[in-house]
Amino acid sequence: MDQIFEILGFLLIVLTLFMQWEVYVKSTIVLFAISSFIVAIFLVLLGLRNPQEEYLLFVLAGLTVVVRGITIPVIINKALHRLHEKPWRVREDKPIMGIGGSILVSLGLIMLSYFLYQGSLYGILKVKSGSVPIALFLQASLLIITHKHAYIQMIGFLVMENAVVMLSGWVFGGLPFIVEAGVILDLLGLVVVSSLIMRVRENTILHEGDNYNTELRG
Amino acid sequence: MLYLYSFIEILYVALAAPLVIGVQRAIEERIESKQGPSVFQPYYDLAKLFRKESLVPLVSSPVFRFGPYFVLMLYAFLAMILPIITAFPLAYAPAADFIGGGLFFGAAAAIKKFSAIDSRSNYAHLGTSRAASIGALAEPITVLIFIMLGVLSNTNNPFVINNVLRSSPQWYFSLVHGFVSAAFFMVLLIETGQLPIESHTNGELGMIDQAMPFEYSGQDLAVYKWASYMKVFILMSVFLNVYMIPFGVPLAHSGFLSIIVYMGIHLLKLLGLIIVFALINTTVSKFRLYKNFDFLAVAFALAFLASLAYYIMQ
Repeated sequence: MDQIFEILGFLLIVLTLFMQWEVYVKSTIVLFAISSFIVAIFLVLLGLRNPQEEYLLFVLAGLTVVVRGITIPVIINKALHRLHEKPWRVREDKPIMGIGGSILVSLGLIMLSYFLYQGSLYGILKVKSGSVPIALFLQASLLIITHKHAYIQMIGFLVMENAVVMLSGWVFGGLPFIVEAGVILDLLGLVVVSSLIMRVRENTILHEGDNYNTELRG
Repeated sequence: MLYLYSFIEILYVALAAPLVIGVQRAIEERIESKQGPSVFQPYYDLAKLFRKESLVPLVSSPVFRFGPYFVLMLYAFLAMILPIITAFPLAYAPAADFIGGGLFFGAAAAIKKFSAIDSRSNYAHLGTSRAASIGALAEPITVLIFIMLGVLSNTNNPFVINNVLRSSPQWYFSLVHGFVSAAFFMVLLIETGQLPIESHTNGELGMIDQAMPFEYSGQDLAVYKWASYMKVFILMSVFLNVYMIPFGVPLAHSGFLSIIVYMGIHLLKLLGLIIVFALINTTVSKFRLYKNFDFLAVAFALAFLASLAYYIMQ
């Protein structure tokens, strides 16, 4: 089972690398949806491993599929369609760092998380691949830092949350159901509110032609 | 007997390489609903070029003239030392391991670049410069891939690596092998000049390998093209026989007949791979030149993740 967890964890790392590589927002949304489905598979497997929490983890997996895998990508997609005439062409056109460089930094962060984990938590937790969700968390932070586009930053935050779910379930044996379910609903709220803010900003504050209208900063 | 097998192997690579290119082009045309050329078109092209006179730029040196022949010779040698139709080392295999094979590939690439520069053509220089930039970054990835396979099998011998992967499912289905295969596939796309790295047109903006033989003609061009076909064939064979589908390659006790039968199976394996290439070439658009380096970065990331996965899963 641990090997399957490792495969899923590395798949998430690769997907986040692909998000770093991708410039089109629509493709990034698809990648995020795929990563959410992988998190759901992870939760199902976790449920099979912990029969005493089986039912709750299956519910959580279902919630993850519905909210993170389907609803959130659909909401972001709709917001994209409302704000842009050609949503498939919306892209990150001014990343803070070149893509090649950011992928290399991402690899550096993966290494850093490995050494940090080996030198600190591994001695206590004894989970061999516990550095994977930490790496994912740092990668998502990099995704936010290196992009200026609001949607990609939002997806970066959601990937961070996926990493936290992985970390809590895999390394610490899971958080209480109410906390996990609450976080998922919080995410839904975050996406809806962010989409609304972006739409309101587009319609009221900013003028046509402003080239920073897709950024979250004031 | 090993010498006979080596002779058969080199003959097989030399004769089948243009066919693989021809089949790929025909499949690509069929996917685009065109009739396309015959699968034997590369043979016709080579035959035509061999009948034509070679023209040599006045300013060039013998490097330009003899470059393609040296390159052909190197690829022919590589055909004898890598696992293409046998999973056991043939007569010349002890001459080089995987790193040595990489060195021969590098030597062939360097000679191609020298001869292209020697033509004094601006286009050839442009192609050389681009090929050198991409090659300088692709080579370390290849070395990292070889190192990872070396770690798995405790050797750099491609025949042993084939043996380890075919006989131990825990390595074949491991993350390390998955990452290494994915990274090698990306490098393969680069080395064989497929999309999204390079399109098969003479458009100046995208030319890399196409630009290098710009001044070649006649018999010299035929040799150059033949060598390129052999390179593609050898790299695809290594990818299939060592990395992706190491199964079924004849072992030392398999006998002569099994090697002959395997040639057919090998062509079927290659057919599968060129269908994948054809699908990529007809559905993916070409990257802008500088975006190729992002592609390389991702390939490097996958090779690097292989090493990390190895240490984590150890």
